Amino acid sequence: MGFILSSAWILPAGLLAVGCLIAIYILHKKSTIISVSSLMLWQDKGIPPESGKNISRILTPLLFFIELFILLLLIIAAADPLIRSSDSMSIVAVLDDSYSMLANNAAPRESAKKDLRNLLEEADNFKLRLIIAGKKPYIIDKPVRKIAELDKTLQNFWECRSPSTDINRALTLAGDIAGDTARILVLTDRKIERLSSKGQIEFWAYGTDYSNTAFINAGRKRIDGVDRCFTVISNFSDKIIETVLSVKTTDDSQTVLSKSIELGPLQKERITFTAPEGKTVKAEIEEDSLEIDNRILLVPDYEETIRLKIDFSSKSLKGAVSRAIDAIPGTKVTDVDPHIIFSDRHRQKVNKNTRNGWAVKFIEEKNPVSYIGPYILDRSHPITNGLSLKGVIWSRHRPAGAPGVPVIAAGNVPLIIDKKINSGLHEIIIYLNQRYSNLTESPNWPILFWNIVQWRRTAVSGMARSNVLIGMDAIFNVEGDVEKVVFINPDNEKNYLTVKDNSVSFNPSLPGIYQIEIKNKKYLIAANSMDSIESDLSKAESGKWGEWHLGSFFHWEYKGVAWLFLLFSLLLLAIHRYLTSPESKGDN
Amino acid sequence: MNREFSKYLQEGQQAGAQYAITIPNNLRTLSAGSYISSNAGSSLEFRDYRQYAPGDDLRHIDWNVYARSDTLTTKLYCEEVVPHVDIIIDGSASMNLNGSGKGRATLGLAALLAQSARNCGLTHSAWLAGNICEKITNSTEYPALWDGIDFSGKIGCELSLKSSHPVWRPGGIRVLISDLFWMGDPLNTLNIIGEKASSVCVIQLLANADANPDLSGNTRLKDCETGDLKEMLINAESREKYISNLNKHKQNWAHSCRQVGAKTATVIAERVLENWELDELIMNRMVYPV
Repeated sequence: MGFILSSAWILPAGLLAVGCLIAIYILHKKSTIISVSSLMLWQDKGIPPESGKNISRILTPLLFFIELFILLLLIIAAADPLIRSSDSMSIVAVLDDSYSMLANNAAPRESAKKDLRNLLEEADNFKLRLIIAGKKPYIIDKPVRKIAELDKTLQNFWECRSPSTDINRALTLAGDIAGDTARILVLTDRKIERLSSKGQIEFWAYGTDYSNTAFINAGRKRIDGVDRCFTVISNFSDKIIETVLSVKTTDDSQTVLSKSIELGPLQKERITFTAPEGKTVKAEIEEDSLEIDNRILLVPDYEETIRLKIDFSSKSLKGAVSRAIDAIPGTKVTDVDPHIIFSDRHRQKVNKNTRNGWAVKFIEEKNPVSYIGPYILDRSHPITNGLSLKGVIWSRHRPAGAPGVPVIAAGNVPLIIDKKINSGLHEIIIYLNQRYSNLTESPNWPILFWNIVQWRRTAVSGMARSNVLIGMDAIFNVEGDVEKVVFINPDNEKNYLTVKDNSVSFNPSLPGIYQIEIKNKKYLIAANSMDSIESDLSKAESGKWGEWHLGSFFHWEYKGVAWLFLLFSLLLLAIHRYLTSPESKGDN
Repeated sequence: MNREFSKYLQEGQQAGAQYAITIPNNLRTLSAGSYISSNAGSSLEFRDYRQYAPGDDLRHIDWNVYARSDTLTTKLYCEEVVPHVDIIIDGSASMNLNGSGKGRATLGLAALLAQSARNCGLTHSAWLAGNICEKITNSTEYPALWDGIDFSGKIGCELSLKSSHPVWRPGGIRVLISDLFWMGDPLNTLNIIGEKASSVCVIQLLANADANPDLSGNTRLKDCETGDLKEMLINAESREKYISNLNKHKQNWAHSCRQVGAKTATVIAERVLENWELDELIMNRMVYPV
């Protein structure tokens, strides 16, 4: 980048001019020759006969080449030549952190590192800001100013395990920190379509369209007491491939499944199997260009049994509630540390073991008024999922006013209220006069209890899904008064996460098993690399695109040297004038 | 020979009917011969005495002198000659420049001079100074009968004369018709031509294009004799330079001619061909109208 032509578009026009000059000389050569009696009197000095034949022809090619050089110098001057005057370089590098950069033993990433190092070595001093462009791009705070720092920083931060990359968002960040004076360099493995940035951005891609077979989806769910698993394997090549799917438990390497699979070009296949209860399994296919998507881990979904306490004075209401609860799997009626207490008693005895219990209170009032609708449901509230109160008669005393947020109301008469107490505890009040209502006989009754239980389930410690994708934010619920949880990553590094709003969040960046410990209880989470776009290496490309060659944008780094070319052309013009003047000694 | 050349000779011969060549003063007309030579000869006109040498004609011994001095002396009488004109034509290619009347004028002028010599009762010969200087076939006859002329000389008139050593009749009139376009001292040529000549005339014959080149702009000039090419920008300045060089050259020749007592004149071919009016030759007393 030491010498550039900022208006290189002029060169074709200049070559046209050179062509015209050549054409003129060729045509001129063919032009009419005028015979004269003697050239003697056309020369300034006499040539003695002994000097031999006149060789004035030698001047023509010399003049042609002089004119050609003059023309070339003028063309280059018009193309605004610039040379680097400043050895300092300010760069913002956007690093594609997606896992496709690990193809073929991380060849794209390593090639990109090498070129970046070479680029920085050209400058005497530089300031490099790095943006790791994964699913959520972020900026590395400390700028890099030395080559030794570069290697270390890249090794620490550029891991390429993200399931995707958001280059556009990363470029927006880059634009913010680069301002108007820094160059932006994107290192990736694909061609990025982007509008012109007036020369500030350059894209360097190092991808190769390797064939790849990968897991693109997987899941595990406990259904009817059985751990059902599925995986989807995709062939991203245009050839038929054969591979072997091998599923084993991680603790004792017990084979769960071993199957040969043949996939046609661009074909996918879904395979289901049953995992041993409570055991983590690892599914693998044969190694190919990209290793990270050739294995997945599936941990059992942790589903805690929701403990329910039923305490009713009304037998009919108790019976109705019991029938609804019995239909809900994963629940247990107990007095010990219940998650939910269903009661119609206005005052409850607070058991020391009920410190985490939500209360669902039924209040039967005198002089009820029956409502047949229309009912107003807060559809954003979890307990209204799937409820349709058409045809339901709901009776309660018409209140003068009621505290809490109505979840279901008949007009301005709240029928169910949700009161958040503290530490995530809720008190749900259901106003219902059973005798004058048909709610308990309607299909909505069991649905209502199902929703309450599922809602409560989301608040117990754990995650809705135990198997997640890397790069995604994982939110883990923490119940009770817990300030910190122990967090162990797949490399067995132990950290503490602070609980906020009854949850902790983390972003798994490594594939593997994560552990969260709360009061000696361990919860396992498996993070896997699966993304059909990233695993499809057929779109990978190599090349360099950009407009850094438009040096005029970085004008502070360059200075113009057109004057030098003009000076040389003037010098040649003077020589040309001398040679073609009548007094020139070149006539001989 | 080119048929056109015969035509030109005929044309010149016809034009020559109205001219007579000027005879130099050192030749006088006598009855026995056309002219009295300055050499000793056998005419009736007494010239001088010399001492008797064995072999002398006894009829020429002056017995009166013997009677007075007892010394045998022989009378010398003037030689009677018929004056001769040698017309030397520059046979170089430039004398037949393409696109000009130079070739036609050269031959026409040579024929005219030959005829004008005949008109005075002089004999004539024509010589072509090409690559060698040689007598033109039938050149003693009427010009229309001359043959073997071509303008292909490459070496120039001076070199042709030097290398060939032509033998001309002593005491004759030598006329050179040339454009005089070669470098070197004119005296070299004049001395060869003027050796034992009674008079020398140098007629510089130029084409219009030689005297007043009508060229301009970027031009490629080719020397019609050597084939050399010269590219040059011809403008008013370069034309002035050319004219200046031409005038200097003419002056050089005029000066040299004066030195050796030769006559010189410059004629333009196209003007000569217009109506065969030879004002320049008349002014320089080379010919006169009859």
